[in-house]
Order: sequence, then C-alpha cells, then structure tokens
Amino acid sequence: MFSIDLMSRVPIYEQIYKKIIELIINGTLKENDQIPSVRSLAKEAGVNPNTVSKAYQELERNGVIYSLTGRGSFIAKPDEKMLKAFALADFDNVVKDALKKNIPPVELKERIDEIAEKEDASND
Amino acid sequence: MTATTSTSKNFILVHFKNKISENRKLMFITTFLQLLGLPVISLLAYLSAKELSTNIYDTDYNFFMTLSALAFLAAILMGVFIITSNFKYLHNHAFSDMQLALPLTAKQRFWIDYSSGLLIYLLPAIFAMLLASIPLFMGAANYPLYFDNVDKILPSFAIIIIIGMIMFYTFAVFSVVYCGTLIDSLINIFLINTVIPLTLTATSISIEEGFLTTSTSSDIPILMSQIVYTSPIGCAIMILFNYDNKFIFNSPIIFKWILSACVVIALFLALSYIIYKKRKAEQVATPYVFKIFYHIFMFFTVFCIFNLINSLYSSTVYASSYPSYYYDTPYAEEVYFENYAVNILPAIITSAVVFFIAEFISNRGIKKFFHSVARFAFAIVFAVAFRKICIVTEGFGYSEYIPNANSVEYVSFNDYSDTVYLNSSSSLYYNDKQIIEKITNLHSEILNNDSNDNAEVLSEFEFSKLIDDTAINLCNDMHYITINYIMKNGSIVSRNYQVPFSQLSEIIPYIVTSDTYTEQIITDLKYTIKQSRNNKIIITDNFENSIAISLNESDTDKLCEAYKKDSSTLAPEDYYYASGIVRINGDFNDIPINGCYTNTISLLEKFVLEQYDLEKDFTNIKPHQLKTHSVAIYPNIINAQIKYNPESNEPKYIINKNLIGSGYDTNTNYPTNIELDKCADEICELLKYANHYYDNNANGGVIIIDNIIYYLPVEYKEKLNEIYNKYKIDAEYIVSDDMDLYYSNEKGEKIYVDSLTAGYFIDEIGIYNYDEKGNKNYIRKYDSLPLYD
Amino acid sequence: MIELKNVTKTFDTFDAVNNVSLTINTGSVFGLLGSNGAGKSTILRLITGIYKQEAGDILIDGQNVYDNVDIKQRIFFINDETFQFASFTIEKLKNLYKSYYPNFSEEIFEKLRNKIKLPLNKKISTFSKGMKRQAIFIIALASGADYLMLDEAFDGLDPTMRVIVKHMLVDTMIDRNLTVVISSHNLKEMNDLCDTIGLLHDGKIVLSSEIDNVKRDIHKLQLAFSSETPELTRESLEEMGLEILHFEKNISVYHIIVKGDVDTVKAAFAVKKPTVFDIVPLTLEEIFIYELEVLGYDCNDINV
Repeated sequence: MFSIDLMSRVPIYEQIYKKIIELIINGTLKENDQIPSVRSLAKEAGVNPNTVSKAYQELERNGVIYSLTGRGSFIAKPDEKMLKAFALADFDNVVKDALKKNIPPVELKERIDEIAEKEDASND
Repeated sequence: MTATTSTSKNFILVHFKNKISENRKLMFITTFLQLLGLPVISLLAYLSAKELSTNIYDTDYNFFMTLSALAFLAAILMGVFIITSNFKYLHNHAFSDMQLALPLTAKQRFWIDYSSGLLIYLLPAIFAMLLASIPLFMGAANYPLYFDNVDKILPSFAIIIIIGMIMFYTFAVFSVVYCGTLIDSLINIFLINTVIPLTLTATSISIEEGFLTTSTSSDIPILMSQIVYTSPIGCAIMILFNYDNKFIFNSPIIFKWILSACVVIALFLALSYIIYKKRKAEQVATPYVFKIFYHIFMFFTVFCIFNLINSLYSSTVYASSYPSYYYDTPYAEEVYFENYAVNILPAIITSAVVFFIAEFISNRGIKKFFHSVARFAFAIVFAVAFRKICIVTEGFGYSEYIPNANSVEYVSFNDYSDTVYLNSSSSLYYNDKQIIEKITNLHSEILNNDSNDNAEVLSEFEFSKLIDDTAINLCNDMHYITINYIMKNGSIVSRNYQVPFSQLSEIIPYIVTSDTYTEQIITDLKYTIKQSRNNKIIITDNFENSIAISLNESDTDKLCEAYKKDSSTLAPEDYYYASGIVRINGDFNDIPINGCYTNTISLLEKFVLEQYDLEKDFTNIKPHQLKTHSVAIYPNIINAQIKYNPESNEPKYIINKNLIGSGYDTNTNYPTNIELDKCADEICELLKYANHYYDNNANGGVIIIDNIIYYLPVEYKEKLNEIYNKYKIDAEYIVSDDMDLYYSNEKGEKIYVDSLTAGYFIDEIGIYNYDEKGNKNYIRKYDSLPLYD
Repeated sequence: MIELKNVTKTFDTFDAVNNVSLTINTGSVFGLLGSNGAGKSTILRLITGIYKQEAGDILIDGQNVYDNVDIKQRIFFINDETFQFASFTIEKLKNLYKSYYPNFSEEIFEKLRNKIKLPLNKKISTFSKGMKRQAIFIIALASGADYLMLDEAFDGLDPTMRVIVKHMLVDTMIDRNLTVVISSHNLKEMNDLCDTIGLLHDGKIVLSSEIDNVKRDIHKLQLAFSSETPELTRESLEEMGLEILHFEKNISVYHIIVKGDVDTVKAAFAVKKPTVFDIVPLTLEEIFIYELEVLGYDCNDINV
C-alpha cells in the first residue's frame, strides 16, 4: 500500500503514522476503509510488527482509526481540525523559518496566492 | 507441574537414545573387533587342544591367536574413540554451543554421556565373552585335561575383563574432562594408564633396592596387588600372568581385588563428575582446564623415570664393579653410595628430557619456563630423596617383614634348584594352616641366617638311611627358593632367598604329602602319559638306570590311585630322604616319586616286570625284534663300580634288582649306538652269552638295550670290538628332530636311537614300524584318530 | 520476559560482561549492538544457559536459566557456525531437535522446507553456506520455542531468504508472542528488524531502550553564527546541561551531536541566535559511532 523509507532518519512508526494521515487527507483512505493488518503491513514493509503495532495504537488513541477484534482496523471519521493541524504543522515551521530569514510576511502571502493560482491552472 | 516434570524426564531417555544412535558406527566397529577377538581365541584354544590330544602338532595356532589378541586390544582401545565422540563438545567450539543449549542439566548431560558410551563399549564385549565361553565349555567337556577348572576360572576372568574395561573408560573420561583439547586428552589418557602402574613398580623397585643386605629382589613387585587393581594394564597383567591359576581365581581373594578395583573406578568417576560440573563452558579448546592433574601425573612421571633408569644403571654398574659377596655384608650400603652422584646423573638427565618435552607440548612453547624448572626440581628432589631413604632404611624395614600366619590365605613355595624332591609343573598355592606356619617359621629362620653373617650349616641334620657321602654336599647346597604369600586382604608378599638345602628339609615332607601337591602330581602324571608320543614313559632311578614302559588308561588310573593312597597314608614325620627317588620322564616333565611311596613304587615294578622279562628277555631275542630297541655297545668297562650284589639285601633298589648301575668315565668312553640294521644278527648271537650282572669274569664289554645293561664274558671282547669298530655311529652323527634322536642311513631314512622311539619311522602318512615279516605297520596316522586310546 | 540483574561474566581475568542489568520484554525484538568483543555473544550465551555467570541473576519469566530444563526447552539458539551440523541430513537434524523441543511443528517445518526447496536426505555439509543457515533457521522457527537467540545468524542469507525469514518471524511474533534477541553488526538490518536495542561496550551497557526513543532523543545539529557572536565551546554547552556526544567546528560551521528532548535542545540553542540551525535525527549507524566515540572507541588519531 505504501512504502517505508528504511534509510530515513525519521522513526519508522512516525512514518507510518504520518503516511496514514496523509492518505486520509488526500482522500485515498476514506472513513470505514480497512487498512492492512499489523501482520501484513509489517511483512510488506519489512519492519518489526511491534513498530507497526505502536503506530496503530497511536492512531487509535488519537481517534484516527478504530479496530474490531477479529476483523481488523478501519479508518475512523476524520477529525477535520486535527487533520488540518497536521497538514499545516510543516507550514507553520516553514513560515517561522522564512520570517527568521527576514522575508516580510507580505511577500509570503503573495507567494501563497501565486502558488494556488498555478495549481488551479494545472488542474484544469 | 506434572507436565513439566514428565517433559524433563523424557529428555533423559531422549538424549540417551540420541547419543547411542549418533555413535552407531562406533558400535558396529567395536562389535566387529570384539567378535574377532575373544571368541576366535577360545575357538583356537579348543581346536589346538583337539590337535594336542591326537599328538599331532600341525597347525600354527600362535599366529592366528596373536591376530585375534590384537583385534581384542583394538576393541579395548575403541573406548577412546567412543569417549572423544560423546564428549566432543568439551573440545570443539562448534559442538559446545549446540550441546550446552539443549534442555539438559549438567548433571544429566554427564551421566547420560558417560553411560551411553559405556553401554556401546561394554555390550559388544559381553556378547563376545558369552560367545567365547562356548568353545571353552565344550573343551572342558571333551578335553578336560587341557581345560581343567574352566567353570571356576571363567566367571572371575570375565568380571575382571569388564572391570578393566570400565576402568580404562573411566580414566579416559577423566582425562577428557580435565583437558581442553583432543590432543591433550589423548596424551593424558596415555599418561594416566602408564603412570599409575609405573609409579607402583618404581616404588617397588626402590623399596627392593633397600633389601641390599638381606635378599635378592623378588620377581613379583612388592606392590603387585595394588598394580592389579589400580589400572587397566594391571588388570591385564592379572589375567595374563594368572590365567591358569585356579587357586586365585577360585578364592575370595579375587573378590577383594574386584572390590578394590571398583573403589578405584568410583573415585575417578566421582572426581570426573565434580570437575565436569566445575568446568566452564568457555574453556573449550584451551589446552588444560584443570592443569593440576597434568602436573601431578608429570610429577610421578619424573619419579618413575628416575627410579627405573637409576635402578637399571646402578645395578649394572654395581654388579660389574663389585663382587657379589658384598651384597650380604654391611659394606653394601657404603659401596652403593660411593659413586652416587655420578650414578644418578643418567636418570636425572633422562627424566629431565622427557619432562621438558612434555612441558613444551603442553605449554605450546616455552612459556613460563621458570615454573617448569621449579616443578621439575621439586619432583626430582622427591625422587632422589625417596630412593635414598629406601636404601638407608632398608626398604622401610620391609625386608624384615614376615606376614602373620593367620592373615595368610595362600602361600606358594618353589625351589628352583631342586629337581629331586620337589618338582611339579606349575606353581602351587597351599591353603593348609600347618604349611603356612611352617613356611613363616622358615622365613624367620632365613632372616636370622643373614643376621648371623653366613650362618653355619646345621650339622645336626641327618639324612637318615642315606648311604652316600653325597649327603653332606646335599646338605650344604644352596637352593634358590621363592615364597609368595597371598594375604587375606588380597595383597601379595613375595621373596626370593638363597638357602642351604638342610634348612628346607623340614618343610618339604609337608608340602609333598599335601593334598594340593598330590593332586597336581596326579594331573601331571596323566598329562605326561597322555602326551607321550608312543604312550611310553621312562622310569629312572637314582643310579640313572632307566627303562621305558607303556601305560594304557587303566594302568594310569591304577598308578594315580596308588600314588594318592601313599600320599594320604604317609605322615610327614615318616617321610625320609631315601636313596631311592624314581623319576618318571616324559616329553612333558620329570615327576619325582619318593622311595617311601611304597605302593606306587611296587606298582611300577609290577609294570616293568609285566613288560620285560629281564632274566631272559633279550638273551634270546630275534634280530627283527632287536631292531625295535635302542642298542648301544662298548667293548671296555672302566671303573665298574659295583653297587649291588644280587645276593645281598642292601640297598633297596627301586626298579628291579636286575638293573645294575655301572659307572664309566663318560668323558672318553661312552657306549655308542650302532648301525643295527646291519649287525643285528651278530649282536643277537653275542647276547646268548650275556649276563645281567657283572662279575670278575664279565670283562668282555657291555651291550646296553633300552638302558638295560648286559655284560659279556671276556672271551667275546674281541668280537664285540670288531662289531664296535665296524658299525659304531659317532655321537656327532646323531641329531634330533621334533620326534627324537636319530641318524640317517645311506638310504636317507631316519633311524631313531632312543629307547622311546627306536624302531619307529615316520613318513607323511604317520608313524610306523616293521613287523616280523618286514611289513610296515602304522601305529599312528596323521589324519585320523589314534589307533588306540 | 528476560531479565539480567547485575550480571558479571569473567573469562580468566577479563570481565566480558561487567555488572550488566537489562530487561527484554516478551514479544520484542531486541538488538544487541556493540564493538567487537563488547560482550554481545557472551550475553546471548548467558541467556541461553550455555555460560554460567559469575555474579548476578539471569531470569526468564522469573526463573533462573542455567541448568533449567523447563526454560531451556523454550529457547532456541543459533550461532554463526554450521560445522556441528555438517554430518547430519536435514531430516536427521530435524528429528534430533524435535526430540528436545516438545512444541515442534512438523507442519511449519515442511511448509518452510518446501518453500525454499531444501532436500531432506542430503548431508548438510554438501549445502552452500546460505543453505546451511537456512536449514537451521527453519528448524528454529518450527521448534516452537518462545525465545530465539540469534548470534550474527543472518550472515550468509541471501536477500530473498532474509525476507522469508523476516516474514516467518513476524508471523511467529504475532501468533506466539515470540521474543527475539539478535546480535549483529549489520545496523541497517537491525534498524528495521528490532524494536529495542542495547548498545554494549567493554562489557557494559551504554544504552538500552526502544529504537524510536533512542532516535528521538539524539540529534545532529549544524550551526553557524554571525561573526560577532563569541565562540561556542563544548564545555560551555555542557555547563548548560546539554549532553554533547560530538563537537566539531569546520571553518565557521559547528557540527554537534547532542542528546536530549528535541524541544529542550532547540530552545537551548535558539537562545544563542544562530544564523544557521539544522536539526536532524541520526541513523542507527551514526548513533553507534558517536555513542562509542564518547567512550573512547573512535576512528580518530589513526594516521597510516
């Protein structure tokens, strides 16, 4: 379903966690879709099942997924706020960085509009 | 809880089975070797007995028996392979992880590995021994003379072999456990097996050397019984030197030895187990895990080598430098130590060489050299000191030791210088209290002799009824005797002494009239008669008159009965050293029959009379009959010493009063055999005028037929001389083969000249003679049973 | 659960394992990392009950391991040698181990054997190195043991076989709560296979925790400052309470390895107002190198 970058410095369970959320955000995974079992994901990605299990537990704790015993794990109703915050977490960091580098906020806002226009254009 | 306990138990059986199946190949090889060993040896013994009983010695059994013995030895040595295979995880890193990770405790592992290997080792042996007993029991049934006492000896024999094997196995396990590599364990297995018996031997030698001033050293090492039960080599010695000793194998002594051996085994086994548990898994492939044992064995190796080389060297040096009479004097010690430092040098050097080579190998180089030197110094100082102490204290006073008669189970007494009064085929052990006491008394007398500085011969001894001057000489003759005590606790005490014959006079009657001795004489008699080639035996009296008689089975039985009766009715006090000692000679040995054995002697006389009509026998003999006898002639009589006058009653002659001893100077004049087939007629003519006895007129020479002397009157001397010069055969032409003395005639035929074999010939078919008509008459053929039994 | 409590193992005079305390949770895959001769193999053998410790306790599920038949039948040890199996056929070896492991599964064994097509009746000595390792692996996996001890056991397995073995491990971990302890030098493999690691050096534990935790709390920093700011020194940072593993200045850029919670570290450095500030996680390999460097085991000062 998706691949893990084993070479990355990012912890594996974090990658899994992020990946699931990304898939929800971009609509690949919808509510009540089944996600791979711990076993099959561990095998597919070649990682430790405990690691996968940890990621799933975190997802479940945060309400992103729910499990039915004997049946598997499924996507829960997405919490829009949470997803948005997640999607925008990097954005915040980048903005902070840019501001630190003395780029004026006005320029940043202009830039956002520019990009949005281009995206629209290419989508049409 | 129950589930786990039963699982644990199962691993024991499981591991045991796994070990056995791992070593399947070794088990097959061991079984194969064992089957080639003991069963084949006993089968060969049976077949050779069968051959012996037909008096035909054809097959070379020794070669095959040696091969068989080697196979058995190889089977014994297989123990080493089995152990190094079972315990390979102690020496090989790769196997260590695998074995030690298995769900077993160290205790379980040790006992299972030990016992599974032992099973593989022993089962083939037991099976082989059972097989081997079959021919032996068949032999006991069919040829009892050659297999006597098999049923008494065999069980002890078998147990000793098994104990020896278990001991060898346990020693090897011990070595494998305290060593860390294969090569070191192999070296140490060799070391343990040799060092223990050698140390005991070396200690014995040292102690014996201390006997300088009293006796010569004994044949049996002082610590012999300890050697027997402390090493597998000792067990082998036990068997090899005593395999026909029915006394030892049938007595409680053997159980004491077996028990002692078991104690030794238990000790080594316990030690092995203890150090096995202490052993750390990571010590695989290090040279020694518990090097202390190696050091202990090397210490004793130095001790052994020093003592053995030293005794070798000093005895040759000592013996060559000083005359033997120094041995018995107080000077002996002084003399011994005169060149002591030089004398011990070869021993020190040899032991140093061996020690340091071993150190080099075990240290894998010259590491810790000073430690090695220190250890060697310690060992050599001990060895030298021990030796010196032994000599100074005369073997810790052991040379003076006389066992208490009450603690002696068996005693044996052998007189190697006596061929007259005491002679039997085997070493006998006496259980009789009286005999044991008498021997211990003799022993203490002997020791007193030595302290008396060449004690005077007991002059009050009298050889009653002995008519010779030789009596006094006989009195003073020094005899070499050996006394062996086998104590109730199983130890052996052995001494050799040189003793004047007079001192032995008291003990000999008791020994000769004992049941043990009597039984042996009877067995010897039967064997001698049975083994004689033509069922003939020679009877010789003390004047060296001999005559050959043949005895069949019932005669033999009667003779044995008579002997037994005489022996049981004769009290030792009534035994006397009569002038008449009859010896019965066969191929086998000489059996003395004393003159006071009246029944036996008169029976022998009876046989002689039955078979020979001495009055008339040969004077009217026909030539073809004469040819079946041994005939020698001599034209002169020198120094005719008349021993007997037919008219007088004295002395008592043994065989028959018609046998007269005539002395002649054997150096220059000797009756010679003649070519009988050419002059038989002439001899027969002369015989008509011959007489049995000598008188002043009988100066014509002698004709001796089968050792019976016939004297010719002087008028026939010339004729006899003629025949003598024409037909005599010089002694150098008389040679011997397997059968007897013979000369070869022109036709190349062998003509036998001895009274036992005269008149007989051999060809490839068998043994034959000629009858009246000159026809061949086979009395024994090679490929058939004897014609008469 | 495997517990080592103050365990010391001495070879002759040398402490291979020095007062080590460690806990390995049931169901985890624990990686033992360390320099050569650090004591990894020793610890594995101590846990398996091959070696006996000089001091301390080694407990599995609360019971001492050494000479404990009940526990040992639940442990399977694979070392890096194959010599001891050379004379066996797979069938014989399987039968041998089957007799010692009561939960042995013929089914799993056959399934695995067929998958990699190992012949039943040929001697293992005739196999290639990789096949030899495969043979013992399938027996280990079929053995039904709850604890798998692997001493550099993945060496010699081809990539496909590695994946097969990993899949089998995954199944067993989930189905039977298998606990695996691995020692290896192949950090990349350890990275994806293990969930917990222990780093050993000179017989002592340097660190022991979940990989993710380890990675989370160690950071690589690249910093630069404007020329006015005074020099940064290692000591000054340590005085601030930061644990510095590595401190290097290359022209004007600082390369610093620091341990600690990411936010704390960020805040600590933000105070200094760096012009360049990069903070990234480390790979396992880097963690290994820097942790040991602190202890004196490094690659510096080697000039050939």
